[in-house]
Amino acid sequence: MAATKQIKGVTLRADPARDTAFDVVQSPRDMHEYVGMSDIAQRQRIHRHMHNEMQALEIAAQTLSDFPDAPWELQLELARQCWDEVRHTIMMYRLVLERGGYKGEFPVMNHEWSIACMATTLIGRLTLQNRTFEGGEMDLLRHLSRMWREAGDEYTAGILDGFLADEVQHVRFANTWIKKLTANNPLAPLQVAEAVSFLRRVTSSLAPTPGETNGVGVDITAFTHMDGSEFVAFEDRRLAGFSEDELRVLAKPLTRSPENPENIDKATTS
Amino acid sequence: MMLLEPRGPLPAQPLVVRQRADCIMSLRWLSTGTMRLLARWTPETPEMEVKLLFGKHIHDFAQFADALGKRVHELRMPLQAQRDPAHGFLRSWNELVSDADSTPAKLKLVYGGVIPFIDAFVVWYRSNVDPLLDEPTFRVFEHFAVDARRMHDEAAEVLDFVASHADLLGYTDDQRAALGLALERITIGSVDDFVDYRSPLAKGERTK
Repeated sequence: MAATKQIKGVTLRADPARDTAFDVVQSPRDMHEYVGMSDIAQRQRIHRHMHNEMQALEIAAQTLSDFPDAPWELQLELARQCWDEVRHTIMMYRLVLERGGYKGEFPVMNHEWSIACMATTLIGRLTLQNRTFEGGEMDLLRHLSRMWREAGDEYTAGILDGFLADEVQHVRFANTWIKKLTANNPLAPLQVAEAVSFLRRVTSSLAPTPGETNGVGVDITAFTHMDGSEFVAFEDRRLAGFSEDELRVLAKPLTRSPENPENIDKATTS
Repeated sequence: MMLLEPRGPLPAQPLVVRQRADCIMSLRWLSTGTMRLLARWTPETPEMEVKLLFGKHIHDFAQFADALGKRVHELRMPLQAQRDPAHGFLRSWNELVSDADSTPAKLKLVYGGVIPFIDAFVVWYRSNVDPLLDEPTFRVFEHFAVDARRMHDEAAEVLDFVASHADLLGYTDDQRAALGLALERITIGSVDDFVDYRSPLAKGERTK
């Protein structure tokens, strides 16, 4: 039985190990996320991205470890994802250092790990991590790449575009394998539904209240909207194996913010 | 070896097809086992740089296992079949894994134990087969040898980094001393006693 933690009444997977440099927090309230592209905001964005890539590595690795009977070809995909996430983490770490930052300069959260690694089925894990979180990451990367380009940083924009190409593959293999595993398992639709229902419950429980601010005084809800969370990269999602029906659902006004858990359902299961 | 060169000395009793398959399936067991071990250790290891090292090498061991699993199919076994090693090796391996409870011990098991063991096993294997008959297996080994050198170099680089930041990472004197020995070679078993030859594959041993 994996170790767990309780956050706002929800049981989540306990944090992965972190070295002493990191200050691990449990709420967006304690994060130091800035709006805009000031020097410190840029450093914080890159630092957060570095940590998120490391988290994605840990989730893929944990999935490999937890499901030794997964089809070998899927294990190969997860192993490849581990390597990709390592490269992404290192590239972000280099950018942190180049900008005069350092590991642990800002607080970090293990939000995705804590949710995805609660899934006890392989289908549930792929649904939450690859199809939902990494699917959202594809949307975000397309948006962020443009943001960095507009800020005059072609180099970082190019790196993020390269990451996006990798993420498309991570989402695509999950979409492919969810379909294959579903075909052979009558319980699979229930496992997908269970994972989505859990995500909805967690998102609702952890939702910030309107006007709630983070550690540097930024309105958390406003930050979510301004950071591109409503952006959907249709062409990338098409490449990643989302059907036209699924894309039509995503095309409707959609905010995958904690205030709108219903839309998470649509984006994940449609 | 030149393409058309007369053959050199061969082993008196080269391994037969089934024995070669047993060797490769056992090696695949070690490779997938190491892959899974690195996967388990990646979230459990606190030091970011070591975490990244383990994470990268998950893929290297997966690729090696995949190549071995394809080769074994060419030797009349199921695709991606593997088998447990001989009992004595398995017991010793399980003890080593259970004792590897710190970052230096984990580094030592993989980079001081597993990789040198595979090197030694390849040398032993080479002396027991016809190199032309089994050239496809050697090609797999050659590719892994390149990866293994890189993995070892990357581990040495990360180890240097961790050692130079031991204070910041909160290492005790004992942990610091263990770091200095982390890439020293250890014996994880004897190559002569690694393979459990010719007994039928059990159902679980076909697991991918």
